[in-house]
Amino acid sequence: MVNLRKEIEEDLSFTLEGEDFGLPVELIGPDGLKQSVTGQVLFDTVRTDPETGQPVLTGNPVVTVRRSSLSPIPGDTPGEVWQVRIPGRPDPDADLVDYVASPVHANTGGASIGFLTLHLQKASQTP
Amino acid sequence: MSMVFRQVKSYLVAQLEAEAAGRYQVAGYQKQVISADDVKDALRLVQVFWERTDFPAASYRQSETRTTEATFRIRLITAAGAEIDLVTLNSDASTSAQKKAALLAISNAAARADDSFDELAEIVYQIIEDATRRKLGTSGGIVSNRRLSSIDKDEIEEQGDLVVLTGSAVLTVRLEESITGGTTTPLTTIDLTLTQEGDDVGKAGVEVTHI
Repeated sequence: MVNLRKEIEEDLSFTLEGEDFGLPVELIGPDGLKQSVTGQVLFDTVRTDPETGQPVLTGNPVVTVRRSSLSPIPGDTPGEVWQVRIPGRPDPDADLVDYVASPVHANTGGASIGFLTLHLQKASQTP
Repeated sequence: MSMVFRQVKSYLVAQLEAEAAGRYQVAGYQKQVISADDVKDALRLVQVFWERTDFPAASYRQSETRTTEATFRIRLITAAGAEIDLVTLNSDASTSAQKKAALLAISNAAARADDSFDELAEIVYQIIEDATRRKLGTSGGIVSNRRLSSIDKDEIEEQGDLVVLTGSAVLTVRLEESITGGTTTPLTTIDLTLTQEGDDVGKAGVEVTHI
């Protein structure tokens, strides 16, 4: 009998990491080591402006990666900071742009079916 | 001649612009939709606008000056992202220990926005409360008192990949407003000069101006 959770997790190799929709994602964890994986990236979110009630497109990159492709996994230790690099636009060959997975954000996602969603925060060079 | 509260607003905008020195930008109105990217770091925004005027109850005649208390709001808007040593993190020559140290030394966005807001509040306070500007660009005793009565900070808010922090300073100014009447009906002058017999230079009599 097929275990559906296991099957869904295995499908992530196609749905998240497949070359049709996947984009390169680089992560540097608190151990200082770089991991290069393929994941899904959503660049924008539509939110409602609280003052005008109008929909506003907000730059809000959200990255979804497969947990089993990572070791260590972001969020294992509370308060840790990760550097995350993603293409600047939805093109696998685009230059990578720097973000951090902010300590103020909880990572979310389908832990029971094997993926992790990182909410990114813009990062610039310290002076 | 515009009313004094408008002159004061223009003066405040001009002074804040003159002293910006690339540290912030100024808008003399309530900007509605503001992108966090447009107010990030040194692009932080100072909005100055007249908010209200209180008119103390008093009997008065037309053409009289009145003491009023005008309130101006100075809105401070900042946004920030995280700051981290990207050169070290992105260099293949950096060791994992160096990268680990760089990650630990992150300056997070909320802390940076808070510092940026506090600095902006300090700058604005010093400009507005400068004693050499107590007349706020007006002459004589038109402005009799002005004080920055409060500065407050709102809750920090995430907007996409940046955080935004806003707040307001309230400036109260006691000033004299002149009532000059409307301009749609021009003033009428009626020449009621009376000429007295034998007054060959025409100095006798009165001239009445009717408003």
